[in-house]
Amino acid sequence: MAEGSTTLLRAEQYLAPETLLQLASFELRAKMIAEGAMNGIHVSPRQGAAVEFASHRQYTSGDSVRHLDWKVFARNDKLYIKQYQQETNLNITILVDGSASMKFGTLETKSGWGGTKVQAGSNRWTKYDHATAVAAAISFLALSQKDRVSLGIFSDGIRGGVRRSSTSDHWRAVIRCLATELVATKVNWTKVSEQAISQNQGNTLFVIISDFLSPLNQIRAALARLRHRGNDVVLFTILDNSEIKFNFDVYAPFEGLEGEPIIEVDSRVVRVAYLNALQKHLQELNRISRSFGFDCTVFNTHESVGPILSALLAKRQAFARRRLSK
Amino acid sequence: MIFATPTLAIIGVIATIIPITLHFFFRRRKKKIEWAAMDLLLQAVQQTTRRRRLERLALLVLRCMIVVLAGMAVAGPLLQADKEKTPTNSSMPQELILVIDDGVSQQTTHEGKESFTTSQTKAIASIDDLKPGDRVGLLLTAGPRSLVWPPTTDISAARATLVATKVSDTPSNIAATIDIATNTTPLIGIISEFRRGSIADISSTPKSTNPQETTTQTPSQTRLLLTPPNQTDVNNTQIISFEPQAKSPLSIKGGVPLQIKLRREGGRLGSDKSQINIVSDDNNRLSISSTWKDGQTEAVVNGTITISNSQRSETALRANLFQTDAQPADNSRFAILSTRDTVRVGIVDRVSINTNNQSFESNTRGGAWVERALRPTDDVGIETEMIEPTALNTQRCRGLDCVIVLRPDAIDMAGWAVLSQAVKSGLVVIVVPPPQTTNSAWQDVFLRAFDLGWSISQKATKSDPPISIQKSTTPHQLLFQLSSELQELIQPISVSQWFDISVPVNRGEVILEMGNKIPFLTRGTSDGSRGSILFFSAPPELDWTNLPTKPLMVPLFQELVRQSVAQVERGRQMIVGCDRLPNIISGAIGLKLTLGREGVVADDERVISVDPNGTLSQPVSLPGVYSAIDRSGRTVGWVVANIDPTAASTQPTSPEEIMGVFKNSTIIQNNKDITNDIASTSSTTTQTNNTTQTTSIARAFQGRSFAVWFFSALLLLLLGETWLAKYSSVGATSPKTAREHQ
Repeated sequence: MAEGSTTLLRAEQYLAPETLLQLASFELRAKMIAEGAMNGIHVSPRQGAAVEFASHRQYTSGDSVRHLDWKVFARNDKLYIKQYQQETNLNITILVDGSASMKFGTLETKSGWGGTKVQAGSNRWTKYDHATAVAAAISFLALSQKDRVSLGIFSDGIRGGVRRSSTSDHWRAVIRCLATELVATKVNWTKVSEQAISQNQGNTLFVIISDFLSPLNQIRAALARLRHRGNDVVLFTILDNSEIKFNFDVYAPFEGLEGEPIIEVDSRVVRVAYLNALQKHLQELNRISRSFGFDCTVFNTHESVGPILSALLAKRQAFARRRLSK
Repeated sequence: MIFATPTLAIIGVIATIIPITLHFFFRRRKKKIEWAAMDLLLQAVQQTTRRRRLERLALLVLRCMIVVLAGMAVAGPLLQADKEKTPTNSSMPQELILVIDDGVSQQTTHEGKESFTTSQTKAIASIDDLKPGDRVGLLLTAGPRSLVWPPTTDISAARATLVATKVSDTPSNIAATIDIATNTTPLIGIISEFRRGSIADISSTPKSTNPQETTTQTPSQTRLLLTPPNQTDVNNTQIISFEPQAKSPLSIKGGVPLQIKLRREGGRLGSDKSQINIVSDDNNRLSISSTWKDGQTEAVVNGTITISNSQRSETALRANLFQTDAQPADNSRFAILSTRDTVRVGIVDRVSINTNNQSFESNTRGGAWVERALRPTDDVGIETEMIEPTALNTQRCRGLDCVIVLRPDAIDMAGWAVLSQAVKSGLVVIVVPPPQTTNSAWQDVFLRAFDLGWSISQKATKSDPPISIQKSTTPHQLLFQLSSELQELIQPISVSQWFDISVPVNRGEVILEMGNKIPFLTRGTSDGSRGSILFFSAPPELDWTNLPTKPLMVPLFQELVRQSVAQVERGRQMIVGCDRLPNIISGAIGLKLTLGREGVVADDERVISVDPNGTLSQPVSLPGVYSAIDRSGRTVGWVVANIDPTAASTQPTSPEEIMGVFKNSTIIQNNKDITNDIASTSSTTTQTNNTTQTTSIARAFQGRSFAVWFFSALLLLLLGETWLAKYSSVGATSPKTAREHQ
């Protein structure tokens, strides 16, 4: 346990954004996050698909003889059919917010470091960078477990993505898509949720990575739609450190990234009110997601991805086991 | 509350512009920040806008108050003590406001001591009794003048200024002086001997149109402490008038007749003799004397002075009374003689032109009548010259004393403008209507040129039978010389045609009136004009009036010309202390003293500037004859300034009279030396309307302790500003609050 903790701490250091930033390869960065997050959770990353015995029932005419338990017949001379609990492979759809607000970031990067196209212009680690890093790591993890993964970049609709697949080459397609997509416009949650449902038939785990700065009623409606179709959703809220702490000390005009009007703000004056509003917003988002049985986690773009990701995965694994035991 | 250094307080108030500027300057710092969570930020801004505005406003007000308070605190605020509770032996700073009478009546000398010197000594003694830190303000009544004003703590400088002050020849104006001080102080000491001349401006009929200068209706909270009037009766003889006898032209042939009026005042007016010496600026002399009978107060002395230089048109004269009396200032008087042989009159009329031995009559008969009336013989002292109406210009008017316009319908606009300008400089213009009906609207042009405010009918009114001239019991001053036989001369005059004229009140005076109440001869003046305008309602034509053929014609025109010109000459007199010329002198830019008390003055340095409106850069302070000079230094006119005999009066007044004149006043009465009592901060017994109370001219202030209050308030404001700037939403959020929200 102690060893595990030590490993975890090391992984955290590795997964700090400052460290990740220095990894020019997007692929490498995602692998590091994924392996760091899985540390101590998965005994075998190659577990794959499995068929597990559940119970016996008496043979009736019409049953396939293929599932007869011949050993029981030999001992008792009675025909019993073996029944199995089959674990189907998980369908994961990762939805990454590509709206203009994701361009925001305050952590400075150095020229030539790796990143998305969004980061390249500003030399800052944006929320979109952080979102893609998390999305790449999750897809890596999922594909490692032979889960089927699809990707969607959304703003006013799902603008691009990768179709569902579980092949080993699929991960590179996901990475390529994340690295090349540009962000723009506002999020249209209604349209996004409808497109996501139409593109993903059957039970799907939606991992939505966004700053969720849209009106909460729109988000609630979208989540309700996903829940209604029996899907599970994990919400990853990506916020910049300055958005969380609002540590400005200036009187300046603030310009919205999604076309909002410029407003003159004395940051010292509005700081407390802003933090209260943010706190209220996040609490409400968390309440909404919990009301549907979804998980919601906040990521600070200036902090490590791994610990939060691994904690979330552990929590979901435990949740899955509890549900299985029932 | 007042301030030791009001300038600093004013600077403090002005300096509030600094925080206001900074307030708006910092608002304008703009460095745009891109932001994602705009909805949340908008919510926060909406929540804090109202509070933030209030706090920023409060902070601005606080900062402005700090600046103002700092200025006031440094300026040395002095809280006025309650006058009834003034501690008489207090060690607190005191303020002494003294009004010292330096008017001409203070030149009164009794037992070898001048009144002003006595007042000066009292004031100096008062100042000497002040302690360091006390303040003194000194005002002089002649002018009035601010000698040491606003009050200063530099007592020694104020004392030195007062010591160097000399008595003035200007009348006292105590009321106006008090007005200066009452705005800042509730207690004023007036040091004067209160001869009648000192209160002449208050007790006599107001001379000024400004009621502020002739009233002592001081604010009720202002109290006056007066030195007792000097009730010693002294003898004084004044020259109250010195003029050539009203006659124009004043020919120097056979000498110039002069008239001097004298007045005596004092308690013991016995038999006496006054010797008067008259000297001209070119050293012609006359010595005359007047013998006073027992109790006689007024006398008229006549004499004739011989003017040797016949080339000069004007001569300055000085009359000196050689008599030892209590008031030397009114023993001299000055006059100007317009010494010339003739009065020059221009008659504006169409002249006869002979062409090919044929003549056409364009010369009206009226012109001939007027010319004959003015010059029945060659020795009347009036010269006439005919002027063609279209040839009327400035050059032609130069040297003329009077212009008689017989053809106003033939004068163009430029001609009227020339006449208007000449009237301002002293020309007398007599306008007579044209004898025939013309299409020219001469009435409007004439009235507009002189801005008379009259109205003259466009068409003549006829009457059959003719209307006679109204007899008047009191003839107009222009016809005063004819008063004895005027009624008889007027009786045969009748008018059969005339132009109706309407003269508003105060815009002219009717000299002769017809039986139907229509003015026949009207006189008017333009504002600021030295000359005058006379208008006949009918021309001297037999078709209109029989005046030309009657005996009145000659004396009427001659007297109108002579007396009008003489009045212009007399309109050059002013009182010492005046800051405005009696009449505008065209082209004058300065006044230079030519003949003073000491004789002819050749001082080109002290020239008093004159603006085009006749206002002087400083009041005339010395009596004498002044020459008005133009830009080239050439003399363009003369003005005489004399002492006001009323203001120089030495008659004593009583305490009751003084207290009646000065409202809310107290006369200091004591048995000891009055000087010590005024100066002393110890109690002084005073008498106010038969009641006795204790007071002092010097006021006490709770000065320094009040400054401490200012600094304390300033400190509190600074603390408030610091707190508001640092811990409210206006400033940075406190560390504790910041931690709570992280």
